[in-house]
Amino acid sequence: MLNLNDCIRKLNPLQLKYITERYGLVLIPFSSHAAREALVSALTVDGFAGQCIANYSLSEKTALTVVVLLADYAPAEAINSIVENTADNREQAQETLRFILGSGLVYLAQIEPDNINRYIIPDELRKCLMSFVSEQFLSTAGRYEQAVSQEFHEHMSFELSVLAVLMDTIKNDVRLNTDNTLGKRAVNRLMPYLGLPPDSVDEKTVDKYANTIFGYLLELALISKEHHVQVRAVDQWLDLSAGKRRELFFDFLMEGKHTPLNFQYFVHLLSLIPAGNLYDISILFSLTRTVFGYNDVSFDEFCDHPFSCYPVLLLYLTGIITFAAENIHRFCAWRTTPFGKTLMSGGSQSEIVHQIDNHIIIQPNFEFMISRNADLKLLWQVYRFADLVQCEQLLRFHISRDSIYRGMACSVMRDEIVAVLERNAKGSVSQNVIYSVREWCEEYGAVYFMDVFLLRCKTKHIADHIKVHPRTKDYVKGSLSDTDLIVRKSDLEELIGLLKTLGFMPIEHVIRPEDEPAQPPGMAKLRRGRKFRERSAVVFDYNSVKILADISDLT
Amino acid sequence: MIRHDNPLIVQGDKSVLVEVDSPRYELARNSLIRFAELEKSPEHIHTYRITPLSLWNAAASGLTAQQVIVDLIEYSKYDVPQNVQRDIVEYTARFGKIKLDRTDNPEELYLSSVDPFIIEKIIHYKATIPYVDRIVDANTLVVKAEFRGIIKQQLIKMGFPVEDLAGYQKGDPYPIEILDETAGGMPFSLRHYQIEAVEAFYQSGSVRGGSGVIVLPCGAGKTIVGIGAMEKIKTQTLILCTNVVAVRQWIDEILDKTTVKKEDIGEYSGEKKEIKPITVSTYQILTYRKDKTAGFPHFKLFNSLKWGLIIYDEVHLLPAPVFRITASIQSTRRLGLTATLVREDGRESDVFSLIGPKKQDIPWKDLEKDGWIATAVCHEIRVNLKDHMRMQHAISSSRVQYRIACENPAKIPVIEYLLEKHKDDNVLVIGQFLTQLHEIADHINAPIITGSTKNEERQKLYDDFKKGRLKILIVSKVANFSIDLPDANVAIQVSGTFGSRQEEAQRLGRILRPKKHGEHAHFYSVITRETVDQKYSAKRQLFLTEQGYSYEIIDGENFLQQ
Repeated sequence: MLNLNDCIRKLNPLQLKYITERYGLVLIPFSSHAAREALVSALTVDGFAGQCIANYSLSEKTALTVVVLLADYAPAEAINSIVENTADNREQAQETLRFILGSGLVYLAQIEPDNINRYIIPDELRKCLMSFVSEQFLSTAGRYEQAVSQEFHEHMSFELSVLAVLMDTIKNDVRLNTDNTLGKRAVNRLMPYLGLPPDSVDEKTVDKYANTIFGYLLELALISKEHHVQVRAVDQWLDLSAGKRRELFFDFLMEGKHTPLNFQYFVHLLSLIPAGNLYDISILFSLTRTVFGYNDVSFDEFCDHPFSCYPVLLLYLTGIITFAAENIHRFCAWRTTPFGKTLMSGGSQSEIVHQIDNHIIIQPNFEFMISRNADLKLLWQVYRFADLVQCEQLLRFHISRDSIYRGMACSVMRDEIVAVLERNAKGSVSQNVIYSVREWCEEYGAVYFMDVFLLRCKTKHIADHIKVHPRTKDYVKGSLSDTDLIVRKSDLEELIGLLKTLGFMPIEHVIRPEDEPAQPPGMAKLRRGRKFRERSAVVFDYNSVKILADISDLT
Repeated sequence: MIRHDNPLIVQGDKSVLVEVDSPRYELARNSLIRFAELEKSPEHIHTYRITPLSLWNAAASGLTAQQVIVDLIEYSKYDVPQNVQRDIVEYTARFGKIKLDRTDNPEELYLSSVDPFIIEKIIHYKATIPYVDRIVDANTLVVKAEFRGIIKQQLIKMGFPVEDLAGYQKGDPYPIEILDETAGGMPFSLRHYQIEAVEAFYQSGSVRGGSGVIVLPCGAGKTIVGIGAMEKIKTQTLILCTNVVAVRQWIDEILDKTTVKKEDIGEYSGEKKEIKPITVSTYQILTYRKDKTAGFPHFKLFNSLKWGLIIYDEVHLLPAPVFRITASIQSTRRLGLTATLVREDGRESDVFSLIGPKKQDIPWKDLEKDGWIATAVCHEIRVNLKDHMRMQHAISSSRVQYRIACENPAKIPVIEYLLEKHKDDNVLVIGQFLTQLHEIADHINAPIITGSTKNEERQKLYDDFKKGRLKILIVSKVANFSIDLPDANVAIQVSGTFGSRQEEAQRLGRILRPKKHGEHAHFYSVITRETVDQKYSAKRQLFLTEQGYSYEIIDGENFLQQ
């Protein structure tokens, strides 16, 4: 913080001359000392600064607003780049900034200890400049309070979209691009669940948002993608309060890896605007355009589809801003929510309190309906064994044999499924649904794989010997035939040693079924004949015991 | 703001969920059916959908977009999504942009639009070019009257509904009145929903009415709706049905309940070729031809008299050639009747374009609640496949697997048990495979009707069943449709046409006519556990569960032990 005197003292003589000439304070012969004093007196006259600003052009006013709002928070370089977005070209932006600096209302200085260039607002002018900024925003405040007939609501909470991504992940149907982003197909599959306002978001924006959520899940380690995408530790996340979950997501966005450059500054700009008042959509349009460019988006397009401007979509989906419309064709106003204001100012989060409705409406056609205001834990439980069909005010699920299979493969127990349904069912539960669910659950695991080795012996005699010998009998876990014994994989080394000790000559490496010693030519024809048995005795004479790779290979 | 008393939940995809238990359900439903289509109506929450077609129908009946939106807001629990409101305005605005009018030449029609760009689009749209005869001015084209159906079909595909103001040909008049007392001496009048259906179709005789489809559950009196429409229009009428038995039932009903004289009503079938002011025919005879390359000789029936109304019974079964000829007779009023507007070939949109839009669709359960159809209790009984058959089933192709599962002999004891349980009831045993049906017939010693049963014999068996002389009747799929057996109150389905939803619904429909003493109807489906039979059964049940019916699943072995 510097006062006006300090700022003016830091000006070099040329800059000082430029400013004083502008205000007609040029002293001949030019004396720096006299010029400084004259400039201080002129700028501290009540209303003088305000009159100067009143004569600014629109682009100069916009640039001054950005500089004043961000001076304390962002380096000059970042602010300059934002101002450049408001101008047609870089030269014009620099000219505008030169003009603003030439008015002596804000100053540019190198600040220690890191010697970064920053804009300085002198203490004496701070009040005047902030009131100018407020006027810029507040000029249309309240205009729509009476006119608004319809306020927009989120179609789905952010948490649900996160769950949707997780759910899809569970289905193992998430294809990743080479850069580890979600593939187009995966994005298309997720789209209905992401809570995006219908018809207002273009394909590119959907892609960005889906990948932001995906990036967030990876960051939180809710999913991993080392070998294939897997879900982990979801319960920890579900145990967080709704406010905390949003706070975490907001922090993630502010880090900027998956969000547009300057998003932090944009949020800061919004945090300075009083919450609750409705503002003309033109303000949001110019702010968005100022900070992010979007020069190819016209005002009309913005009013029709504001969510195609990605930062606006993020703010909307995180509940920071809401929209209003005067008629059904166009958005006309917006405001920051009290929740959003708290989030942006980094204050402690008041809990998002909504009426929890954990009822599940179970229909005989295997459809479930659950309110989006249901406890997230319940939703998560249902996600695991039912397919989400539609995700809006009511979430529509469909349960099928396949979805139950998926759930059970994710370790959901039959009793858990039945308990969730019976505990939360609104009205009667159709008998056919419960019966089928129980039946499908029981079918799970009718066939399964075992991770064991098969010890194949040349003769029944050898197999019997191994089965009954005091040193080897405990290793035998079963048999498939007179000559095929089942042993644990982990006992392999030990067992080979033991067999050697007992005088057998086991093959020391594990043989895959396809690698069994080849049959001599013409063997297939003799498969059932005596000759085959004689020759096979020759083929297998080399070793008496061999271990096949895996029992599953035999099936 | 959530308005808890309201039953509607409008979703962004333009589906509307309706909570049946809400105190405002009736009001909301009555409002909703004017501009949304019923998609399904399971037990607790019904699903409607606002589609361009439903909005155009609403616009055709004079409803404005603003009224639609106001009604949605009035009954909606949550705010109505903005995109839905936007689409309602946009789609409704499209209606009336293109009009089809008469010219002085009866073979030509004017196709006009206030928007010259639309006309320009039609001139350059590949699918419509062949039907444009000439350009009159920037806003008007001339099209051949014979392409009236096709051009409407194509323009709907383009996203522009045509307001068809070309009207209908009057047809030769034929006086017909509905009797207050049937020929059998019973008092008779149309039920309220039948009157509404007739009015929804007729639209006070305006050009906006006169073509459409009425969807009513089996047993709710679709034939009567047809007769009601005939009375309104009072013209020579052609009625098309699925089979000869249905033809005769139509004739009996018309003679029983109207002033039509016996000599004025004719049967045009494989057996008789009568053409009278009221002619009843079958799709089968119309589509008969000697070989695949020959023409359809019986299509001449469409032009043999100046019909003022054509009634398509069981319109969901309309064969493709009849679709084609229907496209060329758009100046004749057309009424489609069905219980299940579900076509397994997915050609529901052709029914819309060529017969007409859906004019009425009442949830089955609503009629059941009011007592217009019997309360039905559905059961699925699962039996096991014997071990030796399981092996045979496992190694067979899917078609053979289905046959093995359907013809499982373990079904017979269950059927016997059910027949014993319902020994005082009138039972239909319905199946797909003739060998199975004959085997059952041998076991239970009951008569059987199949496709090869002669019409006289069929008629006799149906009459015996109706009069109570027969308590059990075994029928193949010939009895799926249009068979009026009012006293049948138990149906045992032993096999079916794979996963056909409409067949399941039609079969249930055989027992839905309200019973004299209000007793419940029972629908049993006997299936083989852990086979394709069970898989298809689940699919077959979809339509009925979406109509609010629920199935009780019973274990066959336990059932027999009890």
